[in-house]
Amino acid sequence: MQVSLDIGFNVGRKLGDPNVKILIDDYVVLYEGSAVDQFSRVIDLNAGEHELKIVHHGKTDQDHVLDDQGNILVDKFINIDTMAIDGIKLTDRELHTGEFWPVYSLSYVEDMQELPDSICPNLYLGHNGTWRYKFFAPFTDWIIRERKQGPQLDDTIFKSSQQTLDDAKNFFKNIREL
Amino acid sequence: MFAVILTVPRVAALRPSAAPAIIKSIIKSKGLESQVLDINLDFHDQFGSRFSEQSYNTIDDYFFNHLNQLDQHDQTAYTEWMQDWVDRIIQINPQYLFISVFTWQAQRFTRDFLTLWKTQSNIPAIIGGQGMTKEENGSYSSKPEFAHEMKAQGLIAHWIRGEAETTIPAIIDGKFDTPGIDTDTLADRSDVNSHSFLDFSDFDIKRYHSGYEQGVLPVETSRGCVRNCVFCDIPTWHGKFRYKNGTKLSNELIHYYEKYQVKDFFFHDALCNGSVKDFKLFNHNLMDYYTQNNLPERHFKYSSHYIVRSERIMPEEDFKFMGSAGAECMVIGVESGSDRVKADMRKGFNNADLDYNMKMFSKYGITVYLLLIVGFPTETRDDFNETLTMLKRYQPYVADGTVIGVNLGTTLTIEEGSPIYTDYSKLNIVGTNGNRPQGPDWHCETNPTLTYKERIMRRIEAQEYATSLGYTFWKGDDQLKLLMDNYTTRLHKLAGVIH
Repeated sequence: MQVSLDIGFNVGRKLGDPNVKILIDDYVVLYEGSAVDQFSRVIDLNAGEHELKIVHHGKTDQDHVLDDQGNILVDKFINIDTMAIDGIKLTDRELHTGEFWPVYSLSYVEDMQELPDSICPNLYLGHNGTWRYKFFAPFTDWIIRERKQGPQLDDTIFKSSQQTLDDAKNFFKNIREL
Repeated sequence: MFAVILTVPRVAALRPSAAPAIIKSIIKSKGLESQVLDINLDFHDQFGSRFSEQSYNTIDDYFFNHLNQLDQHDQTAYTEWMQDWVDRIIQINPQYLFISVFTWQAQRFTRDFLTLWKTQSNIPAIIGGQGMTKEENGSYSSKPEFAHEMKAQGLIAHWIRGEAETTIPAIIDGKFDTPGIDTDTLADRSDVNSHSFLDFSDFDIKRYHSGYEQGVLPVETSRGCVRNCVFCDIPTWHGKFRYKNGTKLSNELIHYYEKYQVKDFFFHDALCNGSVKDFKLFNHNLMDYYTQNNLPERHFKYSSHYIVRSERIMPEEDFKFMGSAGAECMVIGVESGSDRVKADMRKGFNNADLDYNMKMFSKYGITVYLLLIVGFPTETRDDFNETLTMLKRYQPYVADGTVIGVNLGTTLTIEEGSPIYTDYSKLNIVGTNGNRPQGPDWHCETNPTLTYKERIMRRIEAQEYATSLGYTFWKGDDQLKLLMDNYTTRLHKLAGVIH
């Protein structure tokens, strides 16, 4: 099935363009090159689970400027601002389920005592590394189930149960015409 | 005390009912006292815990399934509960007892209650409301059969047919020979711009199951309708379209906010945007009130029936103002995904208009609740497939939270008072067994495969499909049970089991 993907990035380019690679399921490379502000693509996917990966790579120790206290003044980065799949915009909460697996630079590792293997929630790809977001196709069906929004009617006189629907189907299935 | 006014089961206890609040305000304007009692709310809130949840469910079914009977255990609980209300009203000792029969689903309780009432009190009972007919999907009837039945049994002193504004003052003045009182003809219609604000002072507004902290109040923007859809009896029932001007309407909401601290409203009439000019004025007035009082946008929220308008009539800016003023959920009679069927229905809009409205609702954070009709006389299988396609097309609006529900009804029924009832031959409709087409008992000679069973099968298919797409489905259980009961009744009639 065809799935549309639209991603809006905020790109820190003061120290040059970051490199980005966008993949689905490790093997379908959708984009590779300098980071762009807006990425849109329609792709063919099988029904089932998939993983979107946004890889920030090629950043070096020279790609940020620090002050005396080690705070970042200027950085090369990619921030995932917005994402829509099949035209449905992901909420902040949904975007924050994506997990960033950084590849720390050696100098950064030496400076820090303990570093996490992954960061979640995180949409700011300052380190090299891979941001991963799992979803299912067909996306719309899946996201509706995930969101479970709308009124909950089960215990009200407005309810619509599968049991009654099945009862009605069976009742009318072989019934005679009037 | 001039009157006790009752809201009775069965109706969802989402908010206070408007009719008792209207009647109370009219009585008050005449300098008299009244008290509103909501028996329906008590039923939904207290009956289950006082007796048993099982009895509550059985009696709830009994109210809308007129084939069901209660066993001794449930009957005892039901009678004991009604007796408490009889005692309470007798203690108040009003001059009149008014009962608002909201729909046909209130008939069983009304009959049972008045039967008990009659044995213990001579205080005259007066009933009114759209539930005085026998129709399931309509309100209009040339004769209010239920009222006649109650009168013939001596259970009521009078009935009111039509508007309270022209009949309640007559009752207060003792003028019972007024149109709409004990007549089959409707009461004289009133000027909606002269209506008083509703009086909700007897209601515990927060107790209702609205889901809103401060509760929800019903408000009327108009009576009648600008459209004349062939299946609808509203123009017959309510007459020419009459709407409140935008300033009166916004002032009314502000009054309820300042008096009851309620910020959420449901417009219970046929449409809020019949007069686009006044609807715009209303939204702009609310925005001005927010600005003048340092309140945020959408401080009030309102939900309403709404008719689809073209982009030319309602450009994007109007939707933006709607959203900012507080439009929350619009109930839309979409009816069909087929433009051909919508044209036959005289809906006055097409799929392009609907697509535009849906896009605007999504963009400005306004939710929608879709009403569909399956089995219109000219609906072919291809037309029905277009309805299914439309459900698929709008699935992204389910995902983004714009569509909060869909209601499929109980297939197209031909209701007295609707244009299709009068002009059925225009669509080549004939009644079953040589009778006049009415209710579900009809077929279309130019669409012979659309039998009642086929209509029901499509209705079931649509529910199954919508559910699979993730739509929240409303009232499915009630409607399907009703379809099974109706079909069973007709089979029994054919077999000669009942007449």
